[in-house]
Amino acid sequence: MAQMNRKNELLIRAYLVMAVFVAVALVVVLRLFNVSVVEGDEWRELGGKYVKWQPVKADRGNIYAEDGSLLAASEMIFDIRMDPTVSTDYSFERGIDSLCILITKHLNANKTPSEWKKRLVDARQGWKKHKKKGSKSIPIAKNLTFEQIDKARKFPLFRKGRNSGGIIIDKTSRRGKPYKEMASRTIGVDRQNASKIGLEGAFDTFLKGKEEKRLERLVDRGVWIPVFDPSEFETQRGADLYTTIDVEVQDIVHNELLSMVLHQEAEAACAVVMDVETGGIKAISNLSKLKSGGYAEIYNHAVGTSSEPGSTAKLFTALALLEGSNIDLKDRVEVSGGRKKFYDLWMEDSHRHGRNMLNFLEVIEESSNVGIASFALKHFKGLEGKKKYVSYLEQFGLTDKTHIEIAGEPMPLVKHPVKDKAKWSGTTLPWMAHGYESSMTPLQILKFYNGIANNGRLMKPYLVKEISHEAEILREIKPKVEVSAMASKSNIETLQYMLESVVESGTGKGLKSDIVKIAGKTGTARVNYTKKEERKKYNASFAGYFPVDAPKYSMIVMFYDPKKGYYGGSVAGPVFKNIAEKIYQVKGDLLDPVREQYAELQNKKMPNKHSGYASDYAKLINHIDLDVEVNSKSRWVDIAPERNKLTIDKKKIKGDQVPNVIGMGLRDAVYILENVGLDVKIEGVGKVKKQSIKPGAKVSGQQIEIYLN
Amino acid sequence: MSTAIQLYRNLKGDKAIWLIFFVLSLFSVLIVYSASGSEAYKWHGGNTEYFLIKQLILLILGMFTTYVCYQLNYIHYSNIAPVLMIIIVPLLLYTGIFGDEINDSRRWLTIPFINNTFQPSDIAKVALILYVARSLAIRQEYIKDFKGAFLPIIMPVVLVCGLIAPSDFSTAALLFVTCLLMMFIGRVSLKYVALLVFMGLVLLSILVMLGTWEVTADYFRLDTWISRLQGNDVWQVNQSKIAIANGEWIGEGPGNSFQRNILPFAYADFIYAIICEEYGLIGGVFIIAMFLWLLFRCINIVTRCPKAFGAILAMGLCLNIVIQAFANVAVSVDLVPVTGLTLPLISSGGTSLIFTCMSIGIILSVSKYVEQAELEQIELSKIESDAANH
Repeated sequence: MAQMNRKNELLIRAYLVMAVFVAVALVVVLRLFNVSVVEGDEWRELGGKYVKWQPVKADRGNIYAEDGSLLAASEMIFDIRMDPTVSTDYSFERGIDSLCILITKHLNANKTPSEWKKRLVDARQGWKKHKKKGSKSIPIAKNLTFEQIDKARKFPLFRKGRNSGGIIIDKTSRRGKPYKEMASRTIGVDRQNASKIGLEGAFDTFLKGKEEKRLERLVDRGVWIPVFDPSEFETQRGADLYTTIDVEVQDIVHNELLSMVLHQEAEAACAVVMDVETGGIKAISNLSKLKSGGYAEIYNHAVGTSSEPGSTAKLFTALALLEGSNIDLKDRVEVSGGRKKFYDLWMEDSHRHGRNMLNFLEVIEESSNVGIASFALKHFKGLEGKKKYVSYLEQFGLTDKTHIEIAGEPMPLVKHPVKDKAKWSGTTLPWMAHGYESSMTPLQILKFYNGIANNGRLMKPYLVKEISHEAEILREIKPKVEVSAMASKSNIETLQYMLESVVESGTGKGLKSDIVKIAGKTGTARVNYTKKEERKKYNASFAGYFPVDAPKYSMIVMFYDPKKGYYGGSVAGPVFKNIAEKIYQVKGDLLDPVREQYAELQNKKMPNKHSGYASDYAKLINHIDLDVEVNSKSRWVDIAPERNKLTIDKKKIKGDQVPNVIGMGLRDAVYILENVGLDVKIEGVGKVKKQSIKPGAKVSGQQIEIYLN
Repeated sequence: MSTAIQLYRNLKGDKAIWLIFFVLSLFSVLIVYSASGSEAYKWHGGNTEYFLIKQLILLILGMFTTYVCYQLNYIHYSNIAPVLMIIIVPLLLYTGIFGDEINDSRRWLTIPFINNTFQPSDIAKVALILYVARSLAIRQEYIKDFKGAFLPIIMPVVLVCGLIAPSDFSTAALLFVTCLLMMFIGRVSLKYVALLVFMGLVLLSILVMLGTWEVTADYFRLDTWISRLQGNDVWQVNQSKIAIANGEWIGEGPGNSFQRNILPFAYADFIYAIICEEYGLIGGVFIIAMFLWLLFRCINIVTRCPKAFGAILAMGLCLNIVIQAFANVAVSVDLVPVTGLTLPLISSGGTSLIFTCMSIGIILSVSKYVEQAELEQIELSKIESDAANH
């Protein structure tokens, strides 16, 4: 019976509990109904007002010089705002004093701690009393680095995060050019509301990365903050560009051009240096006169300004003559003192030579307009002759664009006797022969001279050699041969000889250098010859290559309307010479064709022990002619010197162990360490000298410091 | 499918509880997959399968646990209980001092070798309920006694809840209420139950005082609590209400939640709001009905169970699940402040799912033996009546 009573008591109590739960369930369902149906419209409307998707630009990729120096990079900058209303009274009061002291000390000293405190407390209390009197968004500091943000996150209140500490971090990026003005027009500008120019524009699709959307919520009138911590929000970073630009060469070119353009007070000037073998552009400078008087990179003349080339074009005609006739360097022509009438127009030589007869070589050496025009008329007779002449120009790659990567290159203007019949007159051929009635950009002219230097192999000029995203190469741009033989080998050699003679004994005598042997051609082009009443304006240029024995670089220097002289030889020539000499001094080892010297050097001193990315070493080792024993085809290798040879072994990297990065370059070391999941902190520059965690230790996401020297 | 039905037919114990278990598990996979969409994208590079696979693996492990616990005769749990208690107390102490801190709270322990964190408080819940059920059952003869019955029952409850409370107040409070209800059902004198309610309130005030005291404030995570009570989670709760309102009657459809992008811990704390957004009011009511039905079935076990231990045990385990479910739902519909409690069986919460499955398994074990006992009873009475007839 007691058993029965107990059971009943237990059951009654259980039913009571059940009843309570049924009641609670009913309340919940009613509440649910209320929210979903009764108040439904209000909530749904509020939902739309509260949040919005905001596009977020990805971090833009970097632009690098050939050696990995940064030409353009985006640095992350952060702004901090504070919402002083979200924290509890308790934690706000406990943290506000030390927070304000830290803000003044580390973030923004424009206000004293007590001023900060007043500002934040006023905003907080104002908001609590009446929303309009306070604010949920107080700017704290702008343009902070990641390190500063990292520190700020540990401040009292801020360390409680956005929802209970009130810290709001906005991330933006700023595009910086570490080399400032150097090549800046070619590197380009990433503009928001105008078309992007230079490489920034040409490779925008790669550089810009993937745009993402993030949710932002409204906290105050017009104040939107991201729902999730923006520093944790990942967008896919843009790819990096590796250009052919050589920072050392660029530096020389820029400074030499600048000093001459200042002296000459020219309207503008440009200079381009090209790697003979590949067509890669090593340096490109464009200086234009500003209204304020100084000079700056504001227009890419080398790529975009097409003008009558003047005397540098005589070499086009010379090569055409060599290819298309049996002309000999000793063939003579009547120049009648440098003044002769062609049809109804007088032609004059710009250099006074006072001779009546010149041979073919002398015509080039003395840059005789009359001479080259007469030869052209003599050898390209009739319509067939003219067609032949133009077809040679086409064969030399002079009738097409260079198709350099950046935008704004005009088509060269080369008349055709049939297609442009209306524009073709009796004077066209003689004038075209010495660089008029046609129009080209400096780069288009340089392409031809580079071809001559490269023994007739015409290379496509290019600026970008690799596009890569993190460690992955997206596109590798190899040097491109446009025409494998512009002309016969012997004719190219003759032309090279002519160019050497110009510097040896012709109009380019001023370029004779004790340091480096230069070959090239002066160019002096009258610009405004149709306007007789104006002051005579000229473009002065020099195009050529060096060193003559084994050409490594070709270059063009162009001055637009120089004021203190107008000859190519005296205005552009000195700049060419100075640049060539300085490059030669800096890059002497590369230019010197005598490889034996290296071997000797290497025998005396073997390279130290290295580790790194195998393909990087492959390039290096190919370059230094050493006995190399390759024991591994692994991607990461250890390199060890052994008496007279190097050995390459597979680098030991285990997934869960801290790898040894001593001896590695920064890029390789960071890549490897981050790949195994370590947080890398870097100190110093150069090669890794020391690492804070011993190799072989277990990886568990800790921070490793590497010290470089 | 037919094999599945075959398997289901072969299962003993309360068929309804099995069904509720399977339906909720299925729901959890669907909803975790959907709700974790945004989080998954954030942390795993768009690998949404990651959460689905993780939840599936946990569920398979969970079902296995349920099956093992269901196979074991529930009488044995009575003997396991004291052993578990001896293990759990030092473990909780250890976690409180040396445990891993996640989200500002020291309630996690990393299991060596498999490198997975788990909350010892999850085992503690099951252990304490087993122990209280045992204590109540063996003291049924003199249950109204203070020294003989009430004190020995309440001491471990206070100890365990006190150890959990600093790091995870919600779970401790929930466990305390569960034990209180078990004692109420287990016929403890109403006087003492009232005393217990009073004690609970005292404990709460002591904690608040400790929390305000600067030395211990950080340890007791008081900021979180003050912020909850001051209503700074209003934004979250409003987002939850927007989700519910978006769902209207029939919902936006599976995988179409928008608010999952906004709600923090959409896959855990606010999963109910996401259910309502995707499956509407109907889906929301369905989930509540499922948990209520589970409670009904357990009451049914209580009415049929011949032994007090089984009845109180099933009731205790079930109450713990149902209270937590209701607490979670109540947060989503803004009836109580944000607690951080997950929706049992449905939220993706790692190891806690395993212990919920353990509870279900034990309940099913009780129901299985209740059925067996009834069958034996029928057989017995049959034999008796046969004997009488002869």
